[in-house]
This record gives sequence, structure tokens and C-alpha cells, in this order.
Amino acid sequence: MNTQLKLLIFFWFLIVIFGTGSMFLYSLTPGKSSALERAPGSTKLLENTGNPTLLLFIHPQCSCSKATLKELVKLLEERGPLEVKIIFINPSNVENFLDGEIWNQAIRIPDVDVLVDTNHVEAKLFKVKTSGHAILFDESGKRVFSGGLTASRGHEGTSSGSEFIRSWLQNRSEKTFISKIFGCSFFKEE
Amino acid sequence: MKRRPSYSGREWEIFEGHMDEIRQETDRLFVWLFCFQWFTVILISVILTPYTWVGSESSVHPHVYLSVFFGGFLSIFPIIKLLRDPGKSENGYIVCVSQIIYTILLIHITGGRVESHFHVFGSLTFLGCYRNKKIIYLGTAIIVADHILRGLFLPMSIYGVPESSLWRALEHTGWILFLDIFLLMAIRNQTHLILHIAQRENALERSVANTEKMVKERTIELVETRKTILDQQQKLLKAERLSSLGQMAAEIAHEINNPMGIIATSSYLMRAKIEDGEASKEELLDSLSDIDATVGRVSNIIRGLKNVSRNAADESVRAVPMKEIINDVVSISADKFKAHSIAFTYVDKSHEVYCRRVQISQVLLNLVTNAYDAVKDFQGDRWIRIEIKQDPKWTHILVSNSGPAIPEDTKVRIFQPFFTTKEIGKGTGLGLSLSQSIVENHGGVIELKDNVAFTQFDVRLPKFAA
Repeated sequence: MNTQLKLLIFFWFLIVIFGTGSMFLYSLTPGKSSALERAPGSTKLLENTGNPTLLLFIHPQCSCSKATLKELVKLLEERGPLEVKIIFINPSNVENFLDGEIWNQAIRIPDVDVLVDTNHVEAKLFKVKTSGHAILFDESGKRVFSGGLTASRGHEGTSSGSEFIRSWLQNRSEKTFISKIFGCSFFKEE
Repeated sequence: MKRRPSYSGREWEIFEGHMDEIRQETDRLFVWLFCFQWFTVILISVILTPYTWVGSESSVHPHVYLSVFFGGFLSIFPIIKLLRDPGKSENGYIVCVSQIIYTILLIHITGGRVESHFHVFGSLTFLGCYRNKKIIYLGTAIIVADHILRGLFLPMSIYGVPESSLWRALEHTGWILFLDIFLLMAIRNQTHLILHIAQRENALERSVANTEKMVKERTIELVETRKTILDQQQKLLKAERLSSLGQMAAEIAHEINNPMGIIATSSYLMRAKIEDGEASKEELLDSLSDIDATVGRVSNIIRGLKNVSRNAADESVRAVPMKEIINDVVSISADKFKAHSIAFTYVDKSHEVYCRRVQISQVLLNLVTNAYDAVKDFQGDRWIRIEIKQDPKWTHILVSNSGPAIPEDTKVRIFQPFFTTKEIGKGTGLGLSLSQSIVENHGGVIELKDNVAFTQFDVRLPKFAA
């Protein structure tokens, strides 16, 4: 093997490493998020049912959120008393925005309320900016968890967020947890 | 303790040849696989994640770019290398790196689907086609390094949990090693098998070489033997010719003596008439004409004798008019036919035959002499006939006579050397045997015909020279 070929293979290998690294970097870059300590008073999403409530904000066209809904289904297999609401953001200026696989995926999940948030009213109240943002409130309206249910962008599998919710529902510890969210943005950057 | 077999240099050479073929074949397989994988990852990304969204605005999803460009990069470089240098030993390692990274890419763009993890098992199995343990080691090392490094520093990207877990890395590695055991065993067995085949091929090669050497030696021996036989045959032919000539000498001397008598008488009469002054011009011219004709007859006899008795060892095959051969024979025999009232007929249509002229003349003289011996004292019709016939493949020289039928026990031995029915001192018993050899050397056949009412020999010569 001549030196020229060795160099070529070496550079190819470097680019492969660089490409693989970039892939992981993109995969692990979270969306923007902020976490309220308590539920906003003006929201219509929380009812006083005496159960904790999990809100999950979804962009209906975000392909990464398919993994989030799959993780939600796994989480709900042993949920106990828990109100679950999936809120689809729906800008009024786009027709048929809700139609698609993700909507169909959501409405097939049993014992879950699927709601539509036209013009991001509720999303703004809860200060959520990224699809796949889940917020868990206890019975009193205190925020227990805020973050995503997937470990990386569109990647199925256990995540710290879903593990915490599962643990909290079983143990009701005093701890709260915030995790990263991976998904499409609800709003354009101002 | 079982000893490992040792292999010779040639066996390793054959083994390397087979391994090179296997590498080239596997390279071709991976060219198609890389094309297929590239197309597949693009298709998957377009179907699963065509767009990324910011509110209500969409743009092409980074996964699509990733599949097109990074997938392309992973495919095109190995494809060019494999097509340019098929069978090179480094190809397997390049393919290995690319293939394992393809697994990571596929898992990534399918959103970590459990099913896409099977790609790594398929990839390792495909890499096993190179029958090179080092490639399996490299592939496994990349997978293990990926699991350990990402497990330690980016656990979320590979296991989906924020805490690093060495045990999980070991579990994944264990499954890979589980597959490796079977792959390495298969590679070892196949390598031994190919080595075994190389041993067999080497043995076969040696055997073929020995056989070829033996065949060459035997061929040389055969050529020498054939040369000896031909020399002996020539000597026999010469002996037979001399013998025949010896026998003919007396008859020919008689044949020549008669014309010489005619010449002597004519010249005596001419001289007497001239001395007596009684010789007219017409009478002298008549006597001279007789002398000329008689000298012509003698010349014919001598020419025929010369043609038939020439040394024919170096004579080449050429097209000879049959008429010339017949004339050689007839010129020698015409007078004795006449003396015994034997009718000689010759049926010819100006045929030519490819042969050695002197040899075939000798065969014909032999047959005609035998025919003459058979009919000269026969109490019925006495005739000898030579007839030339042709079919698409052969020229037949048919020599027939009206003599008594040949007994059955003579027929079966007639071509045997030293077999003769003539009186002692009259025949060597080699005439027909040598005639047979001469005809066979011409690629022809001589046989005694059974299906005719008289005695007939058929000399069959190929119509065209070989």
C-alpha cells in the first residue's frame, strides 16, 4: 500500500469520525425549555380531580415526537392514578396542520385526553417551546417534572425523564426533576 | 498430540490464490451492499423524517442530509477503492470501518429502533465472507469501543440513560462476542478447508506434471521405436525388392534377350543385303523400323525397372497419374504376359492418386507378379485386370486375375510376414506383408475381396493427401 493511499484512508477515517461525532452532537442537542414551579392559574388544562396530571405538548408534524409518544405508551403501562393530556399545538394559519401519523398515534392511546391548542395559547401559558415537552404536576398543582421523555432526538428507549416519572408515581418522593427535550420548535426565534 | 500439518510454498501460493478470489468476490458483494445501504438510508430518512419544523414552517430534516452526504461518503470511498483495487488485503478493513459506522447511522436515522440493531450482526456476518479473523477483530473492536466510550461519555446517545454503565457495555459486547465465536470458528474451518484444497490441488498439479513428463518420455521412446521400425521396414522393403528383382532378372534378361536377338538378326540381314548389293531402300528402312521398335521396347522395360527399383526412402507424397504407375509395372511385365497368353486390361479414367510413386509402383508390381504367378499355368481363361475406381473418400486400385480361388486357410494368413505358397527360393513371403505396410503408411487399406467371383485385391488410398 503506497503512502498516498495510506494518507487517503487516514483522511477518510478522520471524516468518518467527524461525521459520526456530528451525528451524535445533533442527536444530543436539546430544544429550548423553561420550567414553571407551579401551574399557571389561568390554564384550562388542569382540573381538580385529586390525581396528578401529566401534560405532553406535541408538534403534530414533528417526526421526533413519534418516539416521545411511544415512550409515553410504555410509561402508561403501569401508571396508576394519573390524568394524561396530550396537547397538539395548532397554528390557525395552516390548514390540516393536525392531520398525520402523530395525531393518529396519539388518539389511539387509551385513557388519554387529546387536546388542541390553537395559536399556542396554553403553550405560552406553560412557557413550553419544544415538541415532546412533558410536565408532571402533583394533585396540588406543584410541578414535579419538566422535560422530555426521550434520551435524544427522536430516539426510542429509556430516558432519565421517563424513568423519573415512573419512579415518582411509585414512590411519590419530594424530589423534582428537569430533563432535556428533543423535538421541533413551537415558535420561531424572536 | 495432534501435529499441525506443514504446508509447502506452492501450497501457500495456491491458498493465497483462492483467498484472493474470495476477497475479490467479497469486494464485489460489498460494492452492491454499499449501493443498497446508501439507497436504503436515504429512503428511510425521507419516509420517517422528511422535514423538521419550527412552528408552522418546515425545512428538510437534517437526517435527509445526513443520509445523502454522510451515507454517500461512507459508501462512495469504499466503492471506488473496491472497484479500483479488487482483492487487495486492506479493502476488508476499510469496508469493516464503513460497515460498522453504517450500523450507527442506520440506528440513528431509524430513531433507535431495536430492529435496526440487528444490522450490526448482519454486518459482522457479511464481513466474515472475507474469511479474515483480523477483520472480525477490527469490527468487534470498533463496536466495543463505541459502546464503552459512548457508554462512559455519552451514555444518553447509546443506552438512553444519563448514568454511565460499564455493565451494559459489557452486556452488549457479550452478544457481539457470542456471534464472533461462531464466525471465527467458521472462518477457521473454512481456512483449513481451503488449505486442504490447496494441498490436493498441489498434489494434482505434481501428478499432472509427472504424467506429462512420462508421456513426453514415452512419446520420445515411441518416436524412436517407430523410426527403428520404419528403418527395418525400409530394409525389408529393399531386401524384398532385391529379391523380386533377382527373380525378375532372369525373366527380364530373357525379355531383353529376345529383342536383342531381333536387333542382332535385323542388323545381320541388313549388313548381308548391303554387302550383297541387294538391299533396297525400303527393305533397309523396314529393318531400321524393326530395330527402333525393338529398342523402344527394351527402353520401356528398363525405364519401368528403374522406376520400380529406385530407393524410395525419402520420396514425398504427391499427386501421381495412375497411368504412369501402371505403365511402370506393365512395361516390365508385358512380354511375359504375352509369352503366357495372359490378357492384360487396364481400365482408367485418368485418375490421379496422392502417394509415394515408387512405393505404390512396388505394391502394384507385387500384386501383378502374384497375379501372373497365379494365372500363368492356369488351364482356363488367363487374364489380369487393373481397374481404378473412386468414391468421395477413396481411390480404389483393383487388381484382379482369373487364377484359381485362394483357399480359406491361405486367405487368413495371406498378409502375414514370411507366409508364401510359392516354391522355396521363389518368394520371400514378405511381398504382401510389406505392401500392406506401405499402403497403411499412406493412410490406406489393402484387402483381399471376398464378394467377387475371381481373385481381387483392393488397394484403397485416401483420395486427398492428409
